[in-house]
Amino acid sequence: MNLLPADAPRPGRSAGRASIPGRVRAVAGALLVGFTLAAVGLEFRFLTTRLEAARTERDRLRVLAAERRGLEERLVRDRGRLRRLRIEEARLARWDEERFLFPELLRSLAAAIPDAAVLDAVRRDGSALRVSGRARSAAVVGRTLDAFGKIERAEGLELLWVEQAGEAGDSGEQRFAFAGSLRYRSREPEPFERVEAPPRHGEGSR
Amino acid sequence: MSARAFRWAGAGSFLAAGALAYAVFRLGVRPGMVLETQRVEEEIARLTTPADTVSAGLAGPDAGEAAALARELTGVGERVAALRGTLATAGDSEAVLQSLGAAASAAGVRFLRFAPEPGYRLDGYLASAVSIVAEGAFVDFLRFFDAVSLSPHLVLMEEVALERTSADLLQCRFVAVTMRAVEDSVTGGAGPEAPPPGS
Repeated sequence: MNLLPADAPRPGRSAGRASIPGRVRAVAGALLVGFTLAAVGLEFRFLTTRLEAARTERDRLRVLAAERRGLEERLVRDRGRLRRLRIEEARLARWDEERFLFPELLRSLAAAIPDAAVLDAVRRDGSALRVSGRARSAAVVGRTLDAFGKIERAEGLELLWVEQAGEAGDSGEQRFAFAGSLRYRSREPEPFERVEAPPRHGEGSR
Repeated sequence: MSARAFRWAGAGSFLAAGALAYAVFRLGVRPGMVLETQRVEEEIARLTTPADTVSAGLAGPDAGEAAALARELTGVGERVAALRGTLATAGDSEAVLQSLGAAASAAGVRFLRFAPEPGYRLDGYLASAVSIVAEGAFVDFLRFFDAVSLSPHLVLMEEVALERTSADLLQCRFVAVTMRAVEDSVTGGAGPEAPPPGS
């Protein structure tokens, strides 16, 4: 390699060739520059590769984290929706059971009451149940209570009172009253949070 | 300038160019790249550190749980939809209550009083109620309550008091209630009217 200008004077040189030490210096300089640039290039390439790999891994983890967060948020939403649906299901199931409850109760009472007893009143308010009637004797009152106690739709029936029917009291007829509660098959629904009168227009208020 | 000086200048310029390139890389380019690499690697370490995986969302639930939840939601949703099918809609809520009169007539029960009561709202439901006093025999009431329970729309019998008034007749006081979902009422339907006594 000749680094001198083309028109530079070349004293002491024969046939346009550089001297040996000059060539050595030139080659050494070129090698030094070459190695330096090669080292810089290699290190740059190493750093670039490492940075690129790290960025790729970071992006993958970011996407993974975002997906997980999305999944978690969806799960939270779905759990809330499931909880609300279960509450609604319990309420609707209770209402669905409720519609058949009173006819079933009346049929059961009519079937269970002994011949020597008569039902005078059946009251039901919410799940509270109260039954009153007349029986030919105190023993029949006991039998009636036993029979009513076996009714599937009533539970916890207890004798409230029993008294002699009529003023003379010589007929032996007894009046009685039982109290208990209705038995449901569906699970207890959660109470309503809001109970309010509807708006005046278009909501069915009267 | 002598030839020797030219040679040194040429070699020096090579060295200077190499040194400059190296200096630019070491001082200008490399620190930024190393810093960026460290920053990215720290973020990776933070994302994969067990203590931070929860906040980063990497230790969340698996897809199996989500699928199980989705199946459960579908099942419950179908059951709720089926149960909601028995609720009255905005248009026929009043008609359902009025149809009680026909059911009573068919069963031999006579309505003595039929008084619509103010509706009320229970969370997502709207209740329409009517207070009824009726008279009939025990078997007539049995038929009546059976018929009402088997009607396609839900009618709840609340505050029921069935009392004997004579040897054969009983008087029954109750509040019949129909429910409908509130969103049904948004879409409209005829406004409520006071129904006439059924029979």
